[in-house]
Amino acid sequence: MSFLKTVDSKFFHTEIPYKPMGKYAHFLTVRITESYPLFQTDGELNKARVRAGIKAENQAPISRLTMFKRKQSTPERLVGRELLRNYGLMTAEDCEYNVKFAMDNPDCIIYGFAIGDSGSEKSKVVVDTAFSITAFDESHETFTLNAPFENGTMASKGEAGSKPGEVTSRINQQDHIKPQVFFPSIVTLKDPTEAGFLYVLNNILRTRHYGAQTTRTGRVRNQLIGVVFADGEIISNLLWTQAIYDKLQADNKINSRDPLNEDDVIAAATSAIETLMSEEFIVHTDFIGTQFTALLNEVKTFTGGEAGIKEVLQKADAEAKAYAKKHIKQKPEADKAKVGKAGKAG
Amino acid sequence: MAIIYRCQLELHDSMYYATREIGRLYETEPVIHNYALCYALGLVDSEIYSTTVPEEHSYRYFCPEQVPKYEEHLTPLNQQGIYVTPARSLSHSSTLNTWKYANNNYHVEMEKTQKNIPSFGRAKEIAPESQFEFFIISSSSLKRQDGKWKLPKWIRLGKWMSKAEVSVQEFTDIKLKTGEFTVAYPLNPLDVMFTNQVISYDVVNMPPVSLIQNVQIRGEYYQFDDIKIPARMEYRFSG
Repeated sequence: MSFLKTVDSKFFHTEIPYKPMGKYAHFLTVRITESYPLFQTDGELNKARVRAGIKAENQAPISRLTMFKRKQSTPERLVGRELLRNYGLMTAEDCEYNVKFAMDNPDCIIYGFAIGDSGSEKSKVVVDTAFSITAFDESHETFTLNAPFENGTMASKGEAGSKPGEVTSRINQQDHIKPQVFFPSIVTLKDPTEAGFLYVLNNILRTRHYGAQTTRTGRVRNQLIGVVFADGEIISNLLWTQAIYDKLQADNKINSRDPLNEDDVIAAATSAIETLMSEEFIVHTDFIGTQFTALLNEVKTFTGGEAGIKEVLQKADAEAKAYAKKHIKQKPEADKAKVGKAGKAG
Repeated sequence: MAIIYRCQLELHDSMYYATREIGRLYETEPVIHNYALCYALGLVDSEIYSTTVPEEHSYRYFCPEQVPKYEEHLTPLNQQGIYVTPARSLSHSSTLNTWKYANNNYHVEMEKTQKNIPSFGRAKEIAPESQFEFFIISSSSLKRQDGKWKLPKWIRLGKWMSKAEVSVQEFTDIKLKTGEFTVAYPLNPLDVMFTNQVISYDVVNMPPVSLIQNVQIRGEYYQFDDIKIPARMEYRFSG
């Protein structure tokens, strides 16, 4: 049974293959910050110094904010896992992210896992570091964080043995990414089945928070602008971002004081990817613009209703179980013990 | 006569693999191993290059064990006369990144690690827009019938599978000479020492086979466009 009418079934496998078969689905998304997310290591926001654009006049390097790949794929994975648990296809006991993988559900098979001597499944979802279109200095803000007393002030009233009137030192500074910062990002799915394709697309559409979770401020919206089916890898996030920068710069749409206009960015992102894809020499079928709208609307009819999403998840789950049974055979207990001993002896 | 392709790589993302592990710091050397390049370029187990390997050694999404099969995978490349040299950096910079595993519990308590798997660390990575260069020596053309490259334009490298752009330049006017010369590029010692006499070198420590650079060498070599690289290199796994 197939779900989609807008997409030719030749782009999908009927079952999950055990070898790479050269079918790729690339999801083209622009990730838009809607609050103040935090992508950092060591107390500093992640950034990279790269060329501003591709054109000769935009070759000077700028510092861009970066969204590291796993910081994009992990929240999306977790959304999918949440759904699988909600519809009773996975239990928290059987499969816990990065702790214990059950190895037979859509999350494990599509996004991969690695468990010491039980083997590893390579991820079929590949995400690359995303770069902000605008420069770092225009795209972040420094916040002062404090932890006030019960009365709402920073001055002690003598709580817990402190000296009354003393000002607390519970104060800190932290850089945050501003709202309306744009991160063009391509999510690549290798060798999809139709249910697997819908599973990953649904995860991207539903994920609303990225970055440090404890801050509760990392709201990010994925504005999907298309899907490209191809027989290989397509252009990088960096090149796409630089092409968008060139277009916006040429149209005088980059004003360092104001955030970028979303409509301008989407228009530039769409035309940039169309130009870049026309220069690629692989076989590809693009769903961009109105063609993509039709596909997206069709997808939403499945993922927007309980019966539809359940059907998609069940199909994806059945495919994962069939794959696990066929290709990931559990070692018998006796065998496992032998391997353990041999390992020690060796 | 062989055809030599000079390939340039431009990173479009930060690239990481552990050349050295210093406690929790994992460092990436700006040299790309030739084994890694063979896999990244799609030369291994490929119908396009007639390098398919027996089913039991073929690449799969699920790996039951973490044992590399370089010999099984690279020997077909020797049979097809395809050799890839390690890549050196033309220009690069590095960045430090901290990584840790995410946890999706609502309540988190620090537990003692039961497994010997690091849960966090710092990785010294090669920054985007760094450039590398390497050679492919091939006995047959790497162009398709329609004149386009068989080689992919976009490849993925390193532990994070970082995207890199490949550009290729073909050399056909190559002279085969014999003598003593210095190689300006890193080499895989196993692949060169059985056919050429290696006189002096510096070691670039790198698993699984450490590479050598600044190599003084005697034997047959290809010369083209002021570049000298040893001839008759092929993948060797035992003497």
